Amino acid sequence: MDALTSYFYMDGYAGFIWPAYAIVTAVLVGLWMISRRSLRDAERTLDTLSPPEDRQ
Amino acid sequence: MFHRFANPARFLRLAAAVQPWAAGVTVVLLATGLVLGLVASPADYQQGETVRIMYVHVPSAWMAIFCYSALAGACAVALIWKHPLAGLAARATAPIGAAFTFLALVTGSLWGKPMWGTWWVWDARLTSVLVLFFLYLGYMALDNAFDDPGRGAKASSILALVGFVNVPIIKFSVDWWNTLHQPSSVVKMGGPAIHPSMLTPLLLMGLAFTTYYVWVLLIRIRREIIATKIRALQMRQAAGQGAAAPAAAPAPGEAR
Repeated sequence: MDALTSYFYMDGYAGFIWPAYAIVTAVLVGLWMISRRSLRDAERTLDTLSPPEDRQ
Repeated sequence: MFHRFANPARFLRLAAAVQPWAAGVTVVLLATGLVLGLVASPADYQQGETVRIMYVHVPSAWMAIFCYSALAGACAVALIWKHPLAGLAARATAPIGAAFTFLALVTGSLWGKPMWGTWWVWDARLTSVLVLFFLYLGYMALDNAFDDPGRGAKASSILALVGFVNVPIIKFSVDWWNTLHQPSSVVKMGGPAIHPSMLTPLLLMGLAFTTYYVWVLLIRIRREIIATKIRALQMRQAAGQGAAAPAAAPAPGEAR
């Protein structure tokens, strides 16, 4: 347990290292989710607009 | 080959096939890079544990410049050859590049505070990267500022091309001016000045960020192609309704 605590403590730099990784994770996952949702919304709109023979 | 994939329908099929592979490779590379970077690699003899911020900061900065170069290249192709996919690729790249630039700035700040004693300094490297971030935002704002998407794309493409002058300034800023920011340790004469135990996770994270870019870029281009189709269908339907009900259309000379 001590080893794990000292690992996360990062020699006193935990307050800089973990926020850096957290922000990178949040931004990259967030951008992926926004992009994917935007694609799904567009696909749904296209389905409601186009007659079946127009779809590809 | 270039023109083969200019056809949006063919590109959609290709993108749908490549996308899961890009996603899988990104996840594997990220997992390996994070384990090596956060657990297996040693602390730096000067910077201690804070060197671990390098594994996300440096790849973000690489991608910030890489995405801008891709954006400028796509804008040039769109302007010169009117390539249908190039404009969509440029539009799809901009938010990803802006995200990486933001991450390079924020993680750099989090690394700068413990190592330099300050969150920010107005030196050439940091300022030119901040300018890059504003170029991305300016590109996106201008791209969406016109009712006619074609005019918006043209104006924003010119901005992106003019702004490309900033890319060599970012790259060489650490050599041209004295700054707190260290010069490049990976791309330099005589080979990298980083021990393989740190270079391996750094390169893996760089590759992971590159495949992440491909993955999200494909999603965004697919979305842009569909959005173009939706616009065309809506215009066709609006034209069809106008023809079916001419009484609803304003008479010539009538105020709209």
